[in-house]
Amino acid sequence: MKIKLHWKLMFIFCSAVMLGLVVGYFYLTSHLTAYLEANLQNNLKRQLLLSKDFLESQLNISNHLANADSIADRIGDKLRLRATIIANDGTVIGDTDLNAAELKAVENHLNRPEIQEAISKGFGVSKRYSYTIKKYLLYMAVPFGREHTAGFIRLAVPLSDIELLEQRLQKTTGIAFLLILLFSVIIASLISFIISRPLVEMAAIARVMAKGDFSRKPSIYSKDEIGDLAMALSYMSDEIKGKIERIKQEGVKLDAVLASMFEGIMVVDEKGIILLINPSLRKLLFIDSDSQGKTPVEATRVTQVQDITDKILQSKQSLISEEISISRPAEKILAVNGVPIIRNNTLEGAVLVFHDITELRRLERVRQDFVANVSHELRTPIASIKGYAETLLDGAIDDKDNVKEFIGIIHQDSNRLANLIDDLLDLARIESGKLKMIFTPTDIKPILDSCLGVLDKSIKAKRLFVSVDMPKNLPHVLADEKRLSQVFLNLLDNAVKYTPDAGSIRVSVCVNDKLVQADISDTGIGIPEKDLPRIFERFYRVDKARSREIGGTGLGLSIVKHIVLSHNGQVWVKSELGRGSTFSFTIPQV
Amino acid sequence: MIEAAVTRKEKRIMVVEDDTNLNKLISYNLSKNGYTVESIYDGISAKEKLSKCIFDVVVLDIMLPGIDGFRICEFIKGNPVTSGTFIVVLTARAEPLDKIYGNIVGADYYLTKPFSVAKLIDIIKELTVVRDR
Repeated sequence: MKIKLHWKLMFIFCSAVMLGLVVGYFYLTSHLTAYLEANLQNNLKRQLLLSKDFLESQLNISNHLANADSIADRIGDKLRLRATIIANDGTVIGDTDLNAAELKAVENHLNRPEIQEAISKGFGVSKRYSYTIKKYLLYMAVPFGREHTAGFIRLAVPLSDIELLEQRLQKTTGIAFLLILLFSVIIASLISFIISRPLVEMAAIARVMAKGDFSRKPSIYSKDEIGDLAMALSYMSDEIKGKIERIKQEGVKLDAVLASMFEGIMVVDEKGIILLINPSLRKLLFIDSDSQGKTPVEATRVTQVQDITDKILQSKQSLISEEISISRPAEKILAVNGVPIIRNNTLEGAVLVFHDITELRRLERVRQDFVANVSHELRTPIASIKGYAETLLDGAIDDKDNVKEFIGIIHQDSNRLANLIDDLLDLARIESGKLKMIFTPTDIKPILDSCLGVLDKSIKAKRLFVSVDMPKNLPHVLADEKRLSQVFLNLLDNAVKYTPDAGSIRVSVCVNDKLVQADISDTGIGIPEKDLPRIFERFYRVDKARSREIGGTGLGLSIVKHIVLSHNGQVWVKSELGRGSTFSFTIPQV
Repeated sequence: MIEAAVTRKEKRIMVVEDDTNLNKLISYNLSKNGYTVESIYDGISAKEKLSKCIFDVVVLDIMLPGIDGFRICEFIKGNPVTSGTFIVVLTARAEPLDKIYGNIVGADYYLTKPFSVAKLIDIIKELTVVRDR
């Protein structure tokens, strides 16, 4: 059981006071009693000596005392005590309490201790029980008489008188001491309260401090140890508050860093139980539920993550890098880097960092594909030129039936190569941003007219019907004139090439919100639906042979797309196989 | 059937190349050197033709419309009837990995575009002579 300091202090104070009082009480009472008794004896002795003088004055010549009983009565009456006069032979001749008749019955007193003592020493004292008056009495006797002893005078007081006095004394001191005790209790209570109050207060403050409330400060200003303690507590409170604040800030910073990181982070303890997963990783691996306390495979449902975690924790290698492929929630390639957390040579856990490298890998593949494609596209016409030249040199130059066709092929393939190189360079410049486009307010009409002019010969050759639908007050667009011409030329060229003889091409330009939209429709062969999403990819050809035949490089639409996107526009296509295609793009108005 | 091919005097060559100009070039030169040439422009037709006739050598492009050259290699070498046919792979793809892959699927020769016509003829001559022995 907890006993409060307050009560402890009170108990100690009161015990000390009680002990003092009890000792004091006994000392005082025994001392006073002894004093009283001595005082009484002294008084009795003086009275006895006075009575002796008086008796001696009453003695006649023959040294004899007449009417001793009445003298005894007088003395006893005056002194309010019992006086006995005893003759020198021990016969009682006078007594305050006895009449003459009774005196005769009293036995001889010569052997009484006080008388014997008076005979031997001249003064006798005795305390005894008197059967005569049935009380404890203090007897005192001296001999009297001129020249020789005539008898003895004895005075007696009941000891009960002394006891009464003692009792009264004890009562008074007892009451006084009780009062002192009461005051002591009150004072002790006050003192213990004064001492214990600040401690109680500080304990309460320490408790709320533990709960994180640092607003309370001890209101103790005494310049003693308790005051020091209060100040120390106050200082400690400030220090802890500051430290907690710093830790909190660190935590907030860490949370912010983890939350804003693009990379996924997972922290596990030494047993491989997840301590932390950041939002990026949650999104990356589609972890919706609370993952704390789970194993990596439980949380991520990806066994490779578990394998890597186990590997790090087992091998304690400084860094483990692996690439993993996941299929849920989407096809992704993740680079996982893991390091163990080792402090003081003990393994405390591991940190895993996940990078989503899906896009990186895709771009790498696109680049590789592109390199392979470029290689193929360049090598084929060169192979053709080289092969035909070799064949001609090897004697075919004399083969009259074929020589002209072979030279024609060399010419055609060198043109193809030249076009391809032009387009590749254009594309590379647009993509790398090295192609400086100068955006100026541009009128579409003259551009369209000049493009149609360039294609006029082919249009006429195929007997195509071309119509242009354009509002008269068409606003200017913000564009690079040369590149916009390239977009129109590429799209119109395609339309001409892929539209059979006597077909029609329709160009319509209209204002759509803050954009100008151009649609180039043809009644050509159209594009199969499965090819539509890939039609703007580099080197993507619906019909390779046909593209080759009409001199396409496979880059025209890709260039169109890049130019339009550079103008903050959009490009798209709608097509129906066998019925025609519509290529549309938008360019912002000025 | 292989015996029939061996005993035949005229060597039959199939040229699978989607580029018309290149196809014409190879066919012209092979014809001039006395071979019987079948010109094929895509993978599907090549496979059809291979199911019907036996050729001594197939000159094969890899990047073909329809079925790519590697699949045709597998088709030729995986079929006991045609597995004796030599394959000369002719491609613009020059990555080392492609060469290794070509070897795995059973190409006998691997020529990179641009190639020398004379070299191609020499290779085919060599292969057909081996066949004659």
